Amino acid sequence: MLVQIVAQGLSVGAVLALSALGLTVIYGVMGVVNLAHGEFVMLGAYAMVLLSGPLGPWAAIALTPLIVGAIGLAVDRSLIRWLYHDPVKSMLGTFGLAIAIRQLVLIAEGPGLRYVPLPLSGSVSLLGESFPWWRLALIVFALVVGVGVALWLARSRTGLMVRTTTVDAEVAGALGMNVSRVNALAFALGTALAGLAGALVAPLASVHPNMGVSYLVGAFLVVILAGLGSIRNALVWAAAVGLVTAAVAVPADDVLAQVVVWSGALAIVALRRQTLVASRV
Amino acid sequence: MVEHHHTRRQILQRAGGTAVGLTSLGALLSACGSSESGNASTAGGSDAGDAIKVGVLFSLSGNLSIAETSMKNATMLAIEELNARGGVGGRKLEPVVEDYASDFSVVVQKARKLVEQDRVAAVIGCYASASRKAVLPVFESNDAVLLYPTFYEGLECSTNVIYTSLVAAQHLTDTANWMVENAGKKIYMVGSDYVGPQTYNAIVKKLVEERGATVVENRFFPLDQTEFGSALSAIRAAKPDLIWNTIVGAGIPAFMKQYQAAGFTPDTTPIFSGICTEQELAAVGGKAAKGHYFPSSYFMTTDTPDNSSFIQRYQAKFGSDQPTNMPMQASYTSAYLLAAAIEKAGDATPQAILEAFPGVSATAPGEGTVTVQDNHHTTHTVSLGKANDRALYDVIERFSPREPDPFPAGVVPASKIPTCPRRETS
Repeated sequence: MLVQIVAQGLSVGAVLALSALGLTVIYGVMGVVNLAHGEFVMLGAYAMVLLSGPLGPWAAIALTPLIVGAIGLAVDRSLIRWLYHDPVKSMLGTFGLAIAIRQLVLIAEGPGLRYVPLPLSGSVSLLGESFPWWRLALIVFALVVGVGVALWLARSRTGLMVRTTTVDAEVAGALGMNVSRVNALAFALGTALAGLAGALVAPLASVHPNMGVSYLVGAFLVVILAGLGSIRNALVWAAAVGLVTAAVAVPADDVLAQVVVWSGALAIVALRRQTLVASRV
Repeated sequence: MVEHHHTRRQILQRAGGTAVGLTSLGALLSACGSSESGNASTAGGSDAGDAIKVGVLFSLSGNLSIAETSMKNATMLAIEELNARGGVGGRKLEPVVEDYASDFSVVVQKARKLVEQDRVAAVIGCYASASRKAVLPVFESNDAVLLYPTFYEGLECSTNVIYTSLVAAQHLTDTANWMVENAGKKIYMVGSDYVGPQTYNAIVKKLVEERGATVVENRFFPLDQTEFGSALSAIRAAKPDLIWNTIVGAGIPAFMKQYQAAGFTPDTTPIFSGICTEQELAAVGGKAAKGHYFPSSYFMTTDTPDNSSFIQRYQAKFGSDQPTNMPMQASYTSAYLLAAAIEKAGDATPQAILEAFPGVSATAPGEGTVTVQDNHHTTHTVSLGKANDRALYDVIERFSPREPDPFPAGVVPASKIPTCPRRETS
């Protein structure tokens, strides 16, 4: 039972982490609360639907973040850049964007549920309990991507520029950084991460134009607990939420698990009495 | 569950009350509109040449449109065929199509428009139980006719609704018996958390327990849930012989794909689904779907001349890649049942049609004769399908025709079983 709870909890946490990472990067850098984030997850899932047939699942997973990131870049240049550092405006703008993306996909691909094959089938035996390979792969992906993005921000030159812009965009500009380009890059990165999350969950999820909302809700839960803008905290809290969910849902009930997780989150936020925003990335 | 049901009913009654209020207001507002159409029909003459208006009320946009657009298409195909052979009693059928956009308040507006403004003879439409419940006051207060063309949970028999597809107990009884005899006596139940799946599961639980089977768990999930790992861990620990599943909609592909990924196979633990037509199964994919079961009054694979012809006519009109399924076939058959009722009544007023309906029959493609009963439900022949690797069901067992029983004894307390039909709204 314990092994099942931990494995299941981490796999739920992995999906939460993958969808929360992009949301937190975008908020951290440009102060945009991206309510269309779930739709970028959905776009990633559809890229997987369309590409995994002709190219195979692995090439599709590799290409999806590039495609969704490119869409994100175009959206940033045409819409998001007018909404920087204004949470309310950005919420309204991205809420509208979410509707537009959903409807475009609905028009192009229809409302039906879509099929994505499993890249890895079968199960692995963990301490006497069997566990699906693909769920294990999700956990590994979430860790690699999360740690990768955190390291890139911490160690690379571009990461330094992103962090500088996060702290003070004006000073960053005065120091000769191309703030506009850094912002565009961050939005493209955030949406690419959402796309990757979509591609990775598609084989186990149900793919349809309205699927994004539940990923947005999950991502927000993690980001509220972790503080917007913090990658390390997002990973930790995603795992925590996943483990609590599984600890209730495996022995008892999924509805009860939702009640426990959300009332827990509410209590933590109330006790903490601080703003959503983390002080550092 | 009783508590939950009670609350839901109260909400529905409240919603119904509001709708009735709106209706009486609407009657005043539309008085001028109806007198206009009255003049028009006098001017045009009211002899046998007049077209009979038939409302076609489905979601052609929004979440439910995938299922309901094909139901609309099937209805239109039947109306077109009826007109091609000379209409009904020498009069053409004139479809009035309305899209309620998967919105259960819009459906009330559209039903009122069809009934009060267009003055249709009858409406074929609605899909989710919530849409039918929402329009009940409109049909009952206007004494109009609704043909409800999909399988549903029962516990209803409105004076103004003809339920042309399967009702839960009729749908599931033979399958429940079959699975206990052939797949095992230790059953794990899952379903989406609302009245339909809860009723289905209650009926199946009672049926299998009568046959000496045990239900080890009856587990419900929020409607939008697509993560079933925790439930699968619990299922693994419970080691059941089979799964009874009434998860609906977007949850189905997620549940069945995760089931397969978790290493379960239909050879040892098959899934019997109550609400999983070919439409949902396509998104599950043949690999994860193969070997699992679903009972239905219609399967696309049924190899009879009338079904091949039905599929060929449907695809010729709506596209060669279009699949057919049970709610579509029931929608198609509904138009033929309506035509038969109008012919029997010799009149196309809603009251005459309602009176004529009990005893009316039609031929349902791939199924056989279906007959409307006194309780406003329809006899059907259910078959058990087993999914193949193309995510279609092959018929493995054809049961005997079964009478509809909207209030199954043992699930509904004896004192609560009404005389059907009855008015559902006050």
